Amino acid sequence: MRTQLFVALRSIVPAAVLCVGCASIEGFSANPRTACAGDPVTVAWAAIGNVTIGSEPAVADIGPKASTGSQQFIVDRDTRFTLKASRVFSCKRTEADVVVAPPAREYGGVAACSTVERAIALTVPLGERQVSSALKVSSVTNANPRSIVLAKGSVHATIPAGGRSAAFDREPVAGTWTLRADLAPGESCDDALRTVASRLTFRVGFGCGE
Amino acid sequence: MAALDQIRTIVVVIMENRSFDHVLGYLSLPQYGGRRDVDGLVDLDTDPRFANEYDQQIYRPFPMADGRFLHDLPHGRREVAIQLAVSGGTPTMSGFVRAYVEASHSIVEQPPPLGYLTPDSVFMSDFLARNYLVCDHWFAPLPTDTHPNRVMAFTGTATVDETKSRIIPHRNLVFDWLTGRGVRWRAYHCGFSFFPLFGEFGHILGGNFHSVRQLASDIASDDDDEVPQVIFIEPEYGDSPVHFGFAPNDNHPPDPIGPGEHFLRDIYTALSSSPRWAQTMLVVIHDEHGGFFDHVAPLPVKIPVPAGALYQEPFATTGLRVPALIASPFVRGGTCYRGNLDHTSLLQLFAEKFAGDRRAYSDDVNRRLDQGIESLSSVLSQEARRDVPPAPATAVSVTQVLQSTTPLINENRKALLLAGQKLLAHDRARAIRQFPELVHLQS
Repeated sequence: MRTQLFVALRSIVPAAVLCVGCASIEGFSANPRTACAGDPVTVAWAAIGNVTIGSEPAVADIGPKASTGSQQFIVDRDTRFTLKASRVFSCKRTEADVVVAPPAREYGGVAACSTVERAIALTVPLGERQVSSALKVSSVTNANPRSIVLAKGSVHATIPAGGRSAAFDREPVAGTWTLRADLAPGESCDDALRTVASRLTFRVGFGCGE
Repeated sequence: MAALDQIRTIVVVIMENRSFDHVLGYLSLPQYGGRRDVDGLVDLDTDPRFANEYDQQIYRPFPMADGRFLHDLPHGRREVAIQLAVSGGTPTMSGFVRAYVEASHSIVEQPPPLGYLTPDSVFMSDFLARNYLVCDHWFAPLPTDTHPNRVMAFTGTATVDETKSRIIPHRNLVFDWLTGRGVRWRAYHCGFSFFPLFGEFGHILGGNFHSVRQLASDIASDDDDEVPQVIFIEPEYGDSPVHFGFAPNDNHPPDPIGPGEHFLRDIYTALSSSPRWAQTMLVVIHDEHGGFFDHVAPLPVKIPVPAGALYQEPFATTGLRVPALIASPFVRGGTCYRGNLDHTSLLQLFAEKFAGDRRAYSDDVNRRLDQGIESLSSVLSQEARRDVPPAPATAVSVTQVLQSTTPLINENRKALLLAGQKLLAHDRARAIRQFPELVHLQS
């Protein structure tokens, strides 16, 4: 039915005019994406149209909002925030998930190799977008198929491929982590990067208590 | 007699916008048989090739039930570059979540580009994969979206690099090439066709275009000297400006894949129940990856910008892998072909079969051949099999697609609307006779 309505409108209204009445979403986020129960989560949005912030499960004070803004909501469990922007001719919707105290998450990304340092390295800053300041490390696992040196602040540990370390237990998850995988004697950067598909990652087990 | 000589009809079906890993990657997973001959999904929790990064967090492929998506997935030239996430000159295939978040502003625990389907959802593709041949290194020709890749399939030349609302400039259109060599061809369409976008309305209204509803009866009634040597079968495009008796079954997100699977079953059933199946080759591919993850990097295939092209930056690689399935008595059951193919492999096949030389289509196609793109004849087995596996009887529910949906106003929809209007202007009476839904458009 909407298609037929649209086609009918297209026959009498130039296409350019239609877009004047279209909703659009310019931005949406819910941070931190990993939180502890009872944490405040900042939801920020920018849209064109009438905006409604929703959530599943429902949290306090969701509903119609200004077209641009931000607001803190308290989450007790995994929550999907939604943004709906509507205008005369269209309705747009998008979603952002916040996960409360998952067992673990994997962090990392595409790494660079230095022939001078003879190592593949990556820095992983975890800030307020990624994790709650209340989250603590319960374990760390080397997710790579080769040994790495993992460091955060003054703590560092050499972890074999697939191995775990307790060196970071009870440390805040938030902060800057560095990963380094040394080249083997005679190994080239290209060969080393191929073994890890150009990525370095690590898994963090989470805890929210003292 | 060589297999290619024994094949009398080549049937080509080009669906829309799904990647190999998304549709057929499950074939390599242990719970679905763990096929080691297929380069699909393996060790998803640990293999670094499957790690996608967005904002420091790693996301990995997950099983996805078929259904309607909240958004279409990004797959234009710029977005594909993000997905490839080239580092040090090497595509890392790690940017699919990033491209999706940037396009949709949606950041969820299971980002749709990383979802993979399982046999419950792709029952017909699964049937074809288990009973016929998978090509696990069939790439979209270009790392961009629908129009350029379909233009490559039907001409071999990349005259455009993005989907826009316009009649597409082209040369070496496959219909002209086939007609010029006296090859009988036919195109079957559900609703409105993609081919009017080439502006060659004489072909469209010249009697070679039939409704897909005529497929089974044509097969039954064609005399031997009428049987088409090449058949193109088009799905009902979700981007069609008007739907008239067909729900979208082209597999293009946000629509689900279930209707397309039923469409493939209908085609296979019609073809394989005919005695002529013994001389038939059915090719089912997707035009491009549609924004879905695939872990295999595109092939380095450099092509200069052709004269008259509507872009300046040349392409240096293929697009991503797409699902490709070949059903024929001349392929072995449950096998996989690993050679490098793309849509122009079809044009090489036509050249080989109908001109006796795989280099006889065009210089543009030969340029790809010289860089390792093979003819589709490579997949054929010299021994014909006599069994004809029956299509699955169990259907999957597609009720979700029947729900009212908001049409996406994108460039492809605008382009098809434009093509429909131009076709009406060209010959309104014949256009409406060929495509009855066009009566709903203003000329």
